[in-house]
Amino acid sequence: MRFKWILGAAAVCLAVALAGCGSSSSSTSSSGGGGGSATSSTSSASSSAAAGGGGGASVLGTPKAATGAPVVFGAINNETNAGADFPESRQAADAMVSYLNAYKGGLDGHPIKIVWCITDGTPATSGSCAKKLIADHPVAILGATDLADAVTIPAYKAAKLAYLGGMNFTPVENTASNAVIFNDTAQLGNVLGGLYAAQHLGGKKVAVLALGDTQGEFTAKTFWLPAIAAGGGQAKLYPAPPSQADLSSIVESAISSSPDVVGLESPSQCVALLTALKSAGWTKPVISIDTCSAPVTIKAAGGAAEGMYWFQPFQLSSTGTADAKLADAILAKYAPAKIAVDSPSLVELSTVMDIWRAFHTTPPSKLTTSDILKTLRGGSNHPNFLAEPYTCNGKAIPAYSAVCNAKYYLYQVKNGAPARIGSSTYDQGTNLIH
Amino acid sequence: MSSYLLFLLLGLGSGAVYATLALGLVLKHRSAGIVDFSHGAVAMFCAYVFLELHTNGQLVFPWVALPHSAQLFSSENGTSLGLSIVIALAYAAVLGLVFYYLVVRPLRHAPALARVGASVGLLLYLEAVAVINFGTFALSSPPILPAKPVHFADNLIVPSDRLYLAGIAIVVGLLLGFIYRYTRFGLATRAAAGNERGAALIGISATRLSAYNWVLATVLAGAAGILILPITTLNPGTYTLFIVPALGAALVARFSSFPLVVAAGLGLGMVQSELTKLQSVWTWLPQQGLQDGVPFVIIMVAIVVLARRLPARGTMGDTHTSSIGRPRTPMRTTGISFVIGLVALLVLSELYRSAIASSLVVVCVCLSVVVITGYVGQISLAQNAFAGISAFMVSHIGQSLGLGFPLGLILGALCAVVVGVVIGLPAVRIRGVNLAVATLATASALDALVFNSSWFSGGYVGRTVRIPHLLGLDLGVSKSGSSLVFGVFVLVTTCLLGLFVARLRNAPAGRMLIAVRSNERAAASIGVDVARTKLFAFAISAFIAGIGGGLLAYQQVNINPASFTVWTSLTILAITYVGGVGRIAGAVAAGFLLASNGVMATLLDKLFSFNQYQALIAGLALMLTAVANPDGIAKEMQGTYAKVLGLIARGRGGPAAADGSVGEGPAAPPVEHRIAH
Repeated sequence: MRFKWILGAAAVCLAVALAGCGSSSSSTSSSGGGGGSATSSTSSASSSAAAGGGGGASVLGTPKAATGAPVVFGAINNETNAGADFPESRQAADAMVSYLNAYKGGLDGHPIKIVWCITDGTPATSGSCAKKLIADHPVAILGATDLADAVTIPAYKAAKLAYLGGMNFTPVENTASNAVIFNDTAQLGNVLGGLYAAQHLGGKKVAVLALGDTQGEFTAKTFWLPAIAAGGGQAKLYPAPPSQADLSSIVESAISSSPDVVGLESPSQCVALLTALKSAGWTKPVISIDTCSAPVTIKAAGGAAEGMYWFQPFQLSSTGTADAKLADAILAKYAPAKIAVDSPSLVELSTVMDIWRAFHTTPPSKLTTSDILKTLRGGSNHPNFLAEPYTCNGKAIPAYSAVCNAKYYLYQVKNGAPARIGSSTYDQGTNLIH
Repeated sequence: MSSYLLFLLLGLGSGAVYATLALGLVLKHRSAGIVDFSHGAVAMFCAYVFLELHTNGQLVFPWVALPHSAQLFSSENGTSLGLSIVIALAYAAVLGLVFYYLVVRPLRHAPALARVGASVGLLLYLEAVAVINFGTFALSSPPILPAKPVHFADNLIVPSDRLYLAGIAIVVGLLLGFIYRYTRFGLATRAAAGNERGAALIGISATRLSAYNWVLATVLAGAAGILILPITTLNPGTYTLFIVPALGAALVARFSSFPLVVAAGLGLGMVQSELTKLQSVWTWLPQQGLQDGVPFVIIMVAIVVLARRLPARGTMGDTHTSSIGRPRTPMRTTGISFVIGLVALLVLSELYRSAIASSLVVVCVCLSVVVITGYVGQISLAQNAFAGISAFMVSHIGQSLGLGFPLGLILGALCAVVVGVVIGLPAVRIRGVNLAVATLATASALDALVFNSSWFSGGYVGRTVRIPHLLGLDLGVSKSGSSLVFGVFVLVTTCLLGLFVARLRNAPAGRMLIAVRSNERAAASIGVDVARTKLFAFAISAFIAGIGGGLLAYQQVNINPASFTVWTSLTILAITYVGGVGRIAGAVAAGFLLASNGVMATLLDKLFSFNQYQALIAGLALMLTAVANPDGIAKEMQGTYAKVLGLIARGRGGPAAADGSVGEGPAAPPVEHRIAH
């Protein structure tokens, strides 16, 4: 009897939960929806998107709907990890797919479809997701934000599937023979941060505040510290324990060594560290990773983020470029109102558009893995949505053969909003990545 | 010298967080006898409620899919600080009341494990709701308390909000101490907690008092969650991490003294902060994970010093425990299971082959829970840490010593045994929820100090594992990605482990384990060495978990610490509990029906894109099981199976096999498994 009661209740729960699955499952032209959209406080670029949407119709162009059998891509996205999830990647990719299917005729007239598998970022769940995607026989895997690439990329390789774009978290996808990473989204950005701190911000001594876990340690020791040293500065690492409630003692320890610059490399602690720095009276330069620059983070940090520098490979809304205006219009029309506009979402916009640009006239039957890789690796200076042109000749970052573009822009928080500094692009220090 | 003092004072912020959360933990334990692992998650959710009201004017609800917010005030300006706090605290009261009547009240006389299961269920549920509804962006709030710097001396400047927070924690601690010592309400609460029937005779409703206290504790959690917002990071993951140091503070105070809780919490924060200073002075100290190890040290010291005075040690607490299966025909069951598994591996597609292999790996780890928690009654929250030790050691042994399968796997599991025995040492002195707290702290320390160390785990990029070979046959996942051979290899290993556990259950050693579970004092009186038996159980369970960890390493080839975080151990305990912690079939149900990468999850995700809601549904299932079916899925399934056999036998005119004589019997004789602790 009790078991029946449980089954009944569980069935209700299941039904209720699954009722919300539609928007987060496989999508063709959906606006993404699903997790994080309804009450998310990720205010992000809704204002900028709205601004873009004002003239959205003209920016979007003339509708040209895709029809027929879809061209299926698979993608894994990290959305159930309590420490770091990125629903905006899926939302942005779905928004771009919706736009391309409605206005650009999809791929050779066929709608693009992304089959998503949601993961918590653990190797077990992501590995299971990879098997599921492979079983769906996609033409290729769309890179998104999967923290367990070390497990999934070999599975795609074994299944002879190409892995295209997305956030490049680990060396595995950066060097995989079946991968094409249109834009480096983090690695060189960290190196540039270290170099810029030492060479341009007067950083003879730089304190690097990093998340006190394996990811923070890896990023700080692999990229930040060598770059600061190469720039002529002296660096010291201060790990911030994830379970410590108040990080003011870490910040005090860092600034008591009288550094000239503070580097922030802690995605989940940006707000706490910035406010602790302000509270401790820190007025010298702060340079961070780009995940600290998400609009919601800048807003949450209040004035504490003012003046903060970071490198990012994408043209943000404030740059006013044609790509940025189109991105704003697409997000305004197809994405959840409060989508977070940050690297994980921008990289998906860029990835999907780059794939479309490369294959929009290719019949689906010709989309084989070898042809996909050959096409993307051929030629040079291909247009790269929201970013500098890409060339997949393995030279953008010599140690990362799969990366095609490693040119970054420099931004700074001015008056509470991101502003691009100068018109230069930055790709120094690629030799520091091994 | 002033710099050392400065770091001590800066530690007041973290200390106040731990102290305030620990006060709520103690209140809940005193009122309902529950160590609420979800307390941090409740604080987290209330903080979101406050922040959404304050910034967007929205009231958010703790569910998904259905409309989960209501626009109460202007979305432009949000709500005033004071009103937001008041509404959020009222919300916390309602949340506490609902949870009390739906879950806590039915569990008042339930075994400790059921209560742990329910609180872990709520933790998973609230965390999943927050991830889905709010995302994981780090949020914060404008200052709530005055935050002007206070100048004690040159270079001794502390933000005043830290001092206010510590002051609030001290005042609340003293107030609660006063209330529970001198007021009628407090005395009645203590009376009802001590003797419910006696209290009822003099007109005190224990249920009502317990509800009041639970609500008060939940409001305290909410207040803590809101007040600490400006000095910390709010995302679904961080607040739940604070529960480990808060539990440490509560344990030091023996879950009873409010002033002591505050002192312990503040002290813990100050020690953590001072360690940061010492790390810069004594550079030979580990630069990473040291602060996270502090609660572990404090808990261990508390256990050594206070063990005799900790509640639940050898007390007559639980009126019943979950039932234990007794394998009747283990060889036959193993044979049938192997054949079914083999056929499934041969017939099904690679997607499901891989899911079967993953399920079997989880079954191995869950079998370790069946031994330690099901058979011996020791609540261990470190089982997946044992698996992790073994997994990384398999990699080290393979790469450094050149030893592959099977020696590498066995040596890896033996390394887990060493750790298991060390972690089991506290079990000699404590039991029940105190042991759960101690093992949680140990797993947390292992996570911070060992798994996060690059030298041991390879850090972020992980470590590679040698592919297992036997007599020239490649037993790993093939280069083409096929899991057929690996699946058979894992199937054989799991069947052997299952058979081993079944044999153990039926052997004299197994009866000793169950005697200890039933009543330690009675077991000791008939000559059972309780301490040695517990350590034996920890060793055996660590070995089994270690084999599971080694198999996981072989499956993933590249392993990293993300697979073995402290919360994965909680999940392993939770799914085994839902499956049926006293039965081998429970471990099988956990692996196949409940594991996040198991067969059922794969099927549901294939059909409904289920993954996003998995943690949420797991949390709900856990609470439902704790309340309504503490014996788990396996017992019901076995009961149904026995009925079907009975019907078949009756149809043939033979005797009904209502005792479930195939595989594990539905239950051991009542005297063995229903004796009160």
